Amino acid sequence: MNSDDELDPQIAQAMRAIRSDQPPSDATVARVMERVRARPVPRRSMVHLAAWQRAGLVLAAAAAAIAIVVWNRAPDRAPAAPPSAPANVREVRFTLDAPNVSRVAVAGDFSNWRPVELRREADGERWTVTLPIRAGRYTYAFVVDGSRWVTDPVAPVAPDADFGTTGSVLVVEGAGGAT
Amino acid sequence: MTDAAIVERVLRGEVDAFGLIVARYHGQCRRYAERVLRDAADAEEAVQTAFVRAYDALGRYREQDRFGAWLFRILVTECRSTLSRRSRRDRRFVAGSADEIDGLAAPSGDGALRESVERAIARLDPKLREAFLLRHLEELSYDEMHTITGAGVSALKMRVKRACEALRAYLEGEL
Repeated sequence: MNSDDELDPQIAQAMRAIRSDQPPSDATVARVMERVRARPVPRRSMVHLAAWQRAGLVLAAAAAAIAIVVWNRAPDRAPAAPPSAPANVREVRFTLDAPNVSRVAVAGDFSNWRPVELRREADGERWTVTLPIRAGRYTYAFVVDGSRWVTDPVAPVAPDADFGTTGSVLVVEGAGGAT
Repeated sequence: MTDAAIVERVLRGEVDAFGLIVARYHGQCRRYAERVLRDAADAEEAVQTAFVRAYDALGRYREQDRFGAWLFRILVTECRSTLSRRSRRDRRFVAGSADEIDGLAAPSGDGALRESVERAIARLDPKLREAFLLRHLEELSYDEMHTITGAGVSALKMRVKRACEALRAYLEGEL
């Protein structure tokens, strides 16, 4: 082996052969699609819009705000109330599929690790909560039934001290993509 | 059609378009899961669950991320969960149990060398096996591996190095 990362030729040959394996997919496709058709259509998260999409929404919101101010400056109307949310705060939706449990909470840097309860949805399996979170990078985890800590299965993992990961990573981008 | 274009169609309500994603990545996911979990049934379940979780999280996928790496993050987490549940259930250490590979289809082609390599991979410590497969089966960059696993790049390079050394030592004994 010429470098730490380079494989012995025999092992490289075997890995090429393994990579060329193509297990048939029809049955898996059918089973997965049967499961997803029973679930709600996913929605685009504001946090993860592309920069140009966020910019477009910011411009649209600004135009709407200007329109409201102009409209309210008509002599017989009171000024509109200013928006209450700071510019760098985003609505973040936390979701965990957890059937057969009694309680789910989320805790992280953004809550000083105090658990915030999620609400069980009508299907009985999905738990959700939407929280306003300031732009930044956070570590968080779910707490099931008050004592079992689980990472978010769809989020990047926080740097691990050992094989058991310690939490998930959330990045909330502010205006202009800053965190 | 690009992965990002398919994702957009699904988010607009064309749910069946997700089948294109499943068909496109099923082979790669199944190949990885079988070698990490060393059980065909567990691998199939982990792959299906990963796809369903990916579907649920499509709204969080960012176009600047490579979709395959994003999907693999979910799959790796699911495989880790399966191994964790299995170890709690079995209460025994399963590394090195190359004879316990259950349900895998017999490989085709000039199988002797490949079978030896497969056995050697199955004997690796789970951390080393995961890193080795991500690097040399899925050919991910170390930066992508860091995003997927949370481990530092240096730690990942060391795991891959140790895995390669272990494989070489095993094969020198076998061949």
